[in-house]
Amino acid sequence: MPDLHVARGTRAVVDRVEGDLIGERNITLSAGTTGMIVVTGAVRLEGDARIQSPLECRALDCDGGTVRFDATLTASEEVRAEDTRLEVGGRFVSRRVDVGRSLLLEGEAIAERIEVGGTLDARQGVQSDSVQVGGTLQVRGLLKGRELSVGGSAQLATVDLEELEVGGAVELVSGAVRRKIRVGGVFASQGSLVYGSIEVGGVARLGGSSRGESIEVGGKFSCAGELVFTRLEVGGVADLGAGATGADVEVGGRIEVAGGLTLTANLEVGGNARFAGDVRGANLEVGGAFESRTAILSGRAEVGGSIRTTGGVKAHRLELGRKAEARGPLVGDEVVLGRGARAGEVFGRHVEVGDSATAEHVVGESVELGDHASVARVEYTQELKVGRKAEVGSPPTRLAELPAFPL
Amino acid sequence: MGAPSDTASASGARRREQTDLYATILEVVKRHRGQARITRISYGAGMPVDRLRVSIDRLAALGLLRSRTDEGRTVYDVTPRGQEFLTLYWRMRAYTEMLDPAPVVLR
Repeated sequence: MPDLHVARGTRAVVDRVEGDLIGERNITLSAGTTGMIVVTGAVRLEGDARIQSPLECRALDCDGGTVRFDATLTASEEVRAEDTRLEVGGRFVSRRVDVGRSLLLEGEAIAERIEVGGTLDARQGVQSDSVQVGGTLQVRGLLKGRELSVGGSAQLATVDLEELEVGGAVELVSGAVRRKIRVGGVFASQGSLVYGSIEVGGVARLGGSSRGESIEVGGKFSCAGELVFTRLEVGGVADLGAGATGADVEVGGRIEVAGGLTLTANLEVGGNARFAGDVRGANLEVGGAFESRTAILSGRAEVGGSIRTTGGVKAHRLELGRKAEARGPLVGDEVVLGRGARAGEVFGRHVEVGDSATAEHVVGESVELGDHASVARVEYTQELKVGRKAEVGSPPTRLAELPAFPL
Repeated sequence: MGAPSDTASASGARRREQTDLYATILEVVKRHRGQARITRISYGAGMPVDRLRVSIDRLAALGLLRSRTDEGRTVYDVTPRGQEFLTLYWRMRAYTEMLDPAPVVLR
């Protein structure tokens, strides 16, 4: 059969067209004895249409209205559906898909590239190198491909992607996004996630164990499972429900960790930092209060507010801020208590107790007490300097050698 | 906090502001990588074309969007200034959420 023209409002039975099939508005097509419609050329539909049998063609071109394929649709080259709602009830296969309004996929879909202006709703899996949606996307099966880009919001099940970019909000069940995740508003994952980098302007919530490289979140970040990363940078608040391992952490506001934190480099927190477990790292800088079971830093530890530990804090150089308070032992090569600071036990090669600062017990090679400083007990091996009106509760003891320090 | 085009929570705590609409439009335009046509933006942002044109004109006047003609049709793209607006918009939304935490609602 050469080119076939189906007139407006017609119901036609078609098995094979050697050429193009042109359908006017409000047509219904179904297959005859073969059970399948085969069009060697293009299918061009000018408006609403319903195709009740599986259809194979080279290309599909729709121009408005709602076009529904009850069964499978295979367009070997491309599907173009400007200003159209396209619905496919069965399996959908094509190379390039470009739909203006919305695309409903009730079966699995395979395409090199899918572009939808408005809404894409896939009830099963989608396999596509590139998926680009202007508005909203929902995929209930596995989404496998290279890149996904959505302007509005996306709800996804399992993903296997290289890149994911969403303007508004995205929620996924689990999977892998191996290169980058970039989201303007909210990113949420329910289960385990493998990621390359995560960059979120607003809020990121990781529901399960997550492993990857850098994480940058403008507002709030939370992770309910174990977290592995290289760099974690959060503008506001970070809440980690389990332990975390990485290189650097930088939090503008506060951080709370239900487990421990092991870093190879720096922990920098503008506000308060609270850890239920142990903290390990190179350098620590906390503007507010710091709380952990123990903290061992190979470099510098600087806390502006209070330090509260059960086992103590140890660092190469440990500095407690002005009027700050420490509970738990402080240990370091060099320990400095700022003006008016208060501490319990302090151990260091060199310990400097600032003006008006107080401590219960100081042990060091050299100990320096500032003006008006007050220490209940001082033990030293080499040198003790006492400032004006500084007080020592019991007479200072000079030891032959330093005792073993905690931690 | 959800997609900018759907920010009201079930309790109706947050109304969709004009800035949310602008952010929605810019995010949709961004997806089309310099090839965004007015109808596509309309479907993506969920706005009728006539209302959308007013917002597009304003965004272009403010230097957040730019237009050009491609094969006889006008297409839009986000400018660096538009991208800067989006970055600041989402950052500000996050801070607002932190100060006044409401349930996070996804569309």
